[in-house]
Amino acid sequence: MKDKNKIRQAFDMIRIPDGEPSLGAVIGGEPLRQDTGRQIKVRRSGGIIAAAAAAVILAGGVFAAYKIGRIGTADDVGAVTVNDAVVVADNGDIRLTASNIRCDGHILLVHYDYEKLYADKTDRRLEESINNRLHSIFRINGSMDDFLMECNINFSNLDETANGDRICIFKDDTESVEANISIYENEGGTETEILEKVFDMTDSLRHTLPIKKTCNAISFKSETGGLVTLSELGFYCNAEVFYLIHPTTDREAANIILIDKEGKEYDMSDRRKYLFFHYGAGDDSYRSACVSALPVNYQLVEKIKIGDKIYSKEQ
Amino acid sequence: MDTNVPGAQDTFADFYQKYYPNVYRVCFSFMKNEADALDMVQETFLRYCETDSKPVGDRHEIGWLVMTAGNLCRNQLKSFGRSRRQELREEDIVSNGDTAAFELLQAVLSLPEKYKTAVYLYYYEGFSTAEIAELTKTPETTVRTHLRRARAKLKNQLGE
Repeated sequence: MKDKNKIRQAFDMIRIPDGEPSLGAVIGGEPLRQDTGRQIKVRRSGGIIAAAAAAVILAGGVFAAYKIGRIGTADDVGAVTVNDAVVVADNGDIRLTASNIRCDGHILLVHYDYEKLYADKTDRRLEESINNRLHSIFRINGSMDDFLMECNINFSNLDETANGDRICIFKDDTESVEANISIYENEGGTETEILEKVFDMTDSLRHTLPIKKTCNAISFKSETGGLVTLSELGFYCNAEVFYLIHPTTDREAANIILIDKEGKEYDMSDRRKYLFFHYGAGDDSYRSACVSALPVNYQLVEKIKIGDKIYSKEQ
Repeated sequence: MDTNVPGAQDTFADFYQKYYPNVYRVCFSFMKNEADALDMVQETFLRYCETDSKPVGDRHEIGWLVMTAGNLCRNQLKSFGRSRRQELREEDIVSNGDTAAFELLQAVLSLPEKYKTAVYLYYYEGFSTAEIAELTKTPETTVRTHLRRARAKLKNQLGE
């Protein structure tokens, strides 16, 4: 091996992925809290990254995420670590959400996509996560009983291991659920209405959260029927509003640009202006998410441009 | 650099962009697949965010990152077990049709883990054996031995 350059050239053959490394030190909002290491590590998921990022942003922490274009089984999923109360609103796979979060504080999961709950009925990580950390579950639609039975989760034990913290299930089937669990009926409604209910229920947790609750969701449609939901995550933090965007149809989406009523564009992928952008990931169904602190009022967003498609606010 | 203060984002982003390719190369040489390598890159930079004693100067920065990345990858591989390891795929490399170079890369990636960071630092980053010894906190003679054995393995594999 006389030629040292050969080895150097060999290393140079390793292709460096283009995926913009969305590692960012955050945070908007004042004052920043520097007393604790509120840091978060997320990887390999879509919505949960965005939601968790927002949660950490709210707590005034350092957020680092990496864009990863695929997601595997729960075994492939890393961990999210935070040291403060967290509210995660994620309309994704609750197994992944649960297995991605480790939190010393409260965790609230909002979930309203029941089908994905059944992806792996015996997921040990979910069970462990619930037993160890998950203090509150809000689930909407479908039967939680069936899910829990099939996951072999014993709610009596769950209550003990959760140190007495209240476990809340938002469900539409009240039968045969242990008495020590708070049950909230799902009376249906729009996403906004459902979220409003959920956040109403979080009052008991609010003392741990330096935020003011709110919730809104606006749907934007393209001419070809594509749908994007712009969901206000429900948090105000020092006058900044955080958003979770879930485009659900456009696989070609590379960038998300919000357009206000005056036609001004806000490129959400610009990490120097905004906090976070995540594209891709999810499971077989496409999900993409973006969290950002926008300098515009949520209600003023008129259109969303994703790639070549324009999504207009539903009237 | 304090990444917890406003305005530090750009600096940190620049830092990340500057060293991301280097760190990725190291991580890939251990993990041998993109997804795991990216995870390790993230972990490495997170460690950098977290450390109170940040290295100062280019040489120290890259040295710190490479060593940290190598250690993290080794730990991760231990937790994965042998079954996780993958063979090199075509899409993971930039190929110019040079089969000899490709075979050399495969040979480099198959080196024992304990030699990899030294080989990378010595051959790719141009560190001296003394500098590597200081980074790894091992005697310089050990570094030289590792490099010599690594070279021997490469020669053996490539039939030179």
